[in-house]
Amino acid sequence: MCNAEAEAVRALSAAVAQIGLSLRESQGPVAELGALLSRLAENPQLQAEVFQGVHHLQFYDRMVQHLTHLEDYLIGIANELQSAQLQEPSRELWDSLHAKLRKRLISDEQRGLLDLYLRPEVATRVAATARPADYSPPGSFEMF
Amino acid sequence: MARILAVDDSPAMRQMVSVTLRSAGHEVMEASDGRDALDLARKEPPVDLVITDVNMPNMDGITLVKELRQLAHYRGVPLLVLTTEASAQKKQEGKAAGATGWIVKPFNPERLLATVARVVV
Repeated sequence: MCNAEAEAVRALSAAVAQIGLSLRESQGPVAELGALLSRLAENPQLQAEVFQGVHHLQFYDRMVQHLTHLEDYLIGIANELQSAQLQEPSRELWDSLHAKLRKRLISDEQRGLLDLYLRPEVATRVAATARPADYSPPGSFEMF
Repeated sequence: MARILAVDDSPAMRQMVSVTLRSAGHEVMEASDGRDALDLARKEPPVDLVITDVNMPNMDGITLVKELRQLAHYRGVPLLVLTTEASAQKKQEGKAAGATGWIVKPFNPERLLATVARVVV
């Protein structure tokens, strides 16, 4: 592995560690917020406000999932760079890393943002593996 | 009022589901992953409804649905999946496993209560 690749692996590892720390640090305060909502819910007159809080606080869970997927993506890239000294990663391998993240992303905005940062031909190939029509919108309810 | 098992590895999400369900008078039991939920299902009398996440450690929600459907006392119990997973493929896996419905987070609390009222007889 050349110096630039070794530095890139260190930078990726640092980013993964920072994301992990941020997720851990937020758990306590969010649990406190949840407990506060539970106490507020004991007053039936506050139900509308509590339900709004329940809805908005779920975006924290969504953010945790988003960041966890990004952690996995960065770890995958770092692993590929580390093994690059043995074998140059193939186009298919990079495509599969991007596609794995794209499939796990949970909104059109998240997928669109990823596509913006890939080379256009790569974005087209990766997007072809998971078309937008294959996704249900956030908040949807479907009975079987 | 119904006895409901809420399964999610995120304590915050379990709290959000519980707050919503308890506000309507339901009794809520919680489990932090599929294995924990399956242990509860084997030991305790059946609940009226299970609401489960998909991506969890130890046992995911789709495997939990499959395992619960193997238990005689859970064959007729509605099993709702509540998840950020929105792909048609995952939803199809859930349906094939025996799920009753699929809800994509973030859920609307009023709509969740209406759905619970609809599936719990």
